Amino acid sequence: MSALIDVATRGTRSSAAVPLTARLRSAGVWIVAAIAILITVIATMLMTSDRESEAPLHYDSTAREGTKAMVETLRDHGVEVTTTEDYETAHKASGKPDTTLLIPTKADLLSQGDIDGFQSQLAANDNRLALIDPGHMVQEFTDRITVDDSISPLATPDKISRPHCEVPAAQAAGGVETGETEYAEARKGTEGLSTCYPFTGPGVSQVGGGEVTPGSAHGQLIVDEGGGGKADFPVTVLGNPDWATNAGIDEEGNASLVLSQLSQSDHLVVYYPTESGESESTPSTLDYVPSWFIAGALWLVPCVLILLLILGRRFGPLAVERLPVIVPAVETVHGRAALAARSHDRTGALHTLRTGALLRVAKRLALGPEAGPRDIIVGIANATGRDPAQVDSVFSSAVPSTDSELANIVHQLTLIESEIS
Amino acid sequence: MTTRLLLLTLLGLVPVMLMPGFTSALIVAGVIVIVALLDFFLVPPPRLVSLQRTPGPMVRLGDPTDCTLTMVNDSPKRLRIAVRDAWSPSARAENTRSHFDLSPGESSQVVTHLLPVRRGALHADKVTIRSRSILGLIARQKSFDVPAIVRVLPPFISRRELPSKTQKLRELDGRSAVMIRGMGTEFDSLRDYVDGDDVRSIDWRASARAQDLVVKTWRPERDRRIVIVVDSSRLAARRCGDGTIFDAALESALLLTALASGAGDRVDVIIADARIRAIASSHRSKDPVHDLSVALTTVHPELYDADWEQISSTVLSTSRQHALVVLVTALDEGSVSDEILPVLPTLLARHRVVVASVEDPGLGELAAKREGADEIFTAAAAESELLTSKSLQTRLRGAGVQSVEAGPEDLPGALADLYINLKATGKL
Repeated sequence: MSALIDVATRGTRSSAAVPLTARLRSAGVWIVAAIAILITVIATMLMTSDRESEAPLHYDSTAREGTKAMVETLRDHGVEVTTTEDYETAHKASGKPDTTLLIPTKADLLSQGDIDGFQSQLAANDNRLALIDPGHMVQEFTDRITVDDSISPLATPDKISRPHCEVPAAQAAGGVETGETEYAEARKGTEGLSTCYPFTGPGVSQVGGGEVTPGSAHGQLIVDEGGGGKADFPVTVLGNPDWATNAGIDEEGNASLVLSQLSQSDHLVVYYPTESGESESTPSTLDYVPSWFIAGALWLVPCVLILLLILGRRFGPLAVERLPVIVPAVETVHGRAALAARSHDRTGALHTLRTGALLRVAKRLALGPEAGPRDIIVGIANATGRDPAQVDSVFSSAVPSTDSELANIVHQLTLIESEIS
Repeated sequence: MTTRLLLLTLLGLVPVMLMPGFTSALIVAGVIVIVALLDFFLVPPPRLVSLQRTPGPMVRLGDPTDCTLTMVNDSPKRLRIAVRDAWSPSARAENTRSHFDLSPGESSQVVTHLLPVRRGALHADKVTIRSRSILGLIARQKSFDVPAIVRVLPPFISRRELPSKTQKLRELDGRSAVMIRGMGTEFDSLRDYVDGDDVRSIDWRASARAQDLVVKTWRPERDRRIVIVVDSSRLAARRCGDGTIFDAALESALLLTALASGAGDRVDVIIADARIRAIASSHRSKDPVHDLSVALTTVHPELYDADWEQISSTVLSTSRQHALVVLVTALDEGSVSDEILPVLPTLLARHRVVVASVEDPGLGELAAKREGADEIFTAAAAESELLTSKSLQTRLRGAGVQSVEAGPEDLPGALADLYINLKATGKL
């Protein structure tokens, strides 16, 4: 018999070929994980490409904040546009005759030397400088224009600004979107300087106390034809960057205004200042650590990776144990006890214990099955010599009203039962 | 990935630290990767090993056994392999891992020693082979199904009671008739009278012939039928003592089988719940206990209710002549009154029925603990269980069924005693 079974269950390894479907099924988790990772990577890349608009007003940016539309439109209209991020190129290009230099943003990245260079170059050829919402940096380029700080902070200007000036381009453009900043002449009554698009609307009033004297010419567009002072070159300040952006250029008269202002000369140089990147950082502690040490420490990363792979590789799958069914034994007893305890069924519990005790005692006293509880109680009283009334109270009549009374009766019950042997 | 690859990578520290820089590190890493890739293709695939498992002899629970794993290298390559011969935890396999270096055509064996801790058919788990090349940088591994089954028979602890019970049974042999006279005694032989023999068993005719006092002796009846029904339903799955109620029931069935088949009776064992799980008979069997052990090895209790109608019809079809039917089951109020009592009349019409049940020793302990209010409620619940089983026994007695109830360790002995008692009084 045993030999038969041995042969029957003696096994050799069957062919090692695992069907493709089974392999795919077992590799399913990994395939799904790989797809998930791929999707995540692609999504992340797409989202990071969206974030190119970190360069607002950039001439190559097609994002909402970019100005590629404006530059391309100018090129279509015959203006020779030179775009650069390099100061030298911009400096050189702005030296050509009949040229406008546009610095759309980030003028604060320019050093004083850079600005001086531009000023001399522009002044030498009487070329125009165009700035888009330069803020207080405007004063670095010219001392004739400043930010208008005389406007009441409580003002809520109209959404659309009207020209209110004699500049033909503005007249032709009509209403444009209102920005957040207004510019004004630095000294009241400066010659050759026209201002357009002042804030209008409820609460707009000039208050004193700032640099700008109330009554000075002010507006969001300032066209300065030059005339003395530090700057001997014409300057145009476009006070609202939305006029030039891809998103805002097609609103109202924005396009007309900006394009006409920037196409006054045959050449336009768009210079987008960038950080030179050669900023000198303070030497960190890492600079004092020898390079061979860093190389060694970094080399430990692959070492640890290999160590983890070695330790983490399991020698085959976990062994399976088929467990038989086992039911906990006295579970029902505990459940029933808990039910009785919760419903305070002391009488029932006591009755059960009394019955059990009486049956055992009857057996020990050799009383027949026809003996009733009365006979057994009398038998107990005789056997133990106790007061029959007490035995009757413990075994039959006493009714417990509290748990401690119950415990007391049960204790006596057990005691009397143990006395009969 | 092996320790050697780690050592090689750590060795890479030397050039990397001597020539710090991104390029040198990249070159060293590249060299390591190329060497590792090269080694990966050098490693012979683990499936080149032919595997065979030869299980050792079937054993009783608690005895050690083993299983031999044979590996043959059929390939022309030299195989350096690590082997894991996996078994389920209850097999208690020792040293499942070993290393081999097999030349082409060479074969090797590893014996895994097992000390099973659970009864039943013990299935072998997978064999995992991890192969490496002479460089040993990369190891390839694969797991294979190599089926093998080791049968673990029930422990039959109550075997130690067998000699004393058999002795008791033998004492019935050769007793004078009066002591044991009954329907079930057969005339055996005549022997000389010795002091103490009952004078009523003196065969006067033979004494006259022999000129000496001769008494008749008797022996217990033989060739009776015994049918043991072991209930494997959900009630048998209850934990009781060290094992389950079912384990104690099997012990009782084994002891009774050994005893009764030794005394010349025929024993049939039926293990059933909602369906008949196993049937074993001592008829024409050289070793009834072993055959029974084998038959019930794979049976474990399941969460079904027992189908007593089916069981009783199986009993009736098993034995047409008068038999002692032993039902080893749990005294559960619902199952006894709704299922067992209705089928009893059909069984009792032809057979003598005995119900054996396992008493949970935990109940007695719980009923004796009466310190606080919570313990008293628990004691009352346990006491009520005990009372229920007592009243069930009374009801069974009323129906003409004898019952035995004892703790898991004592039930085999108690059932054997009942059998001997019945045998002695000739009630089989």
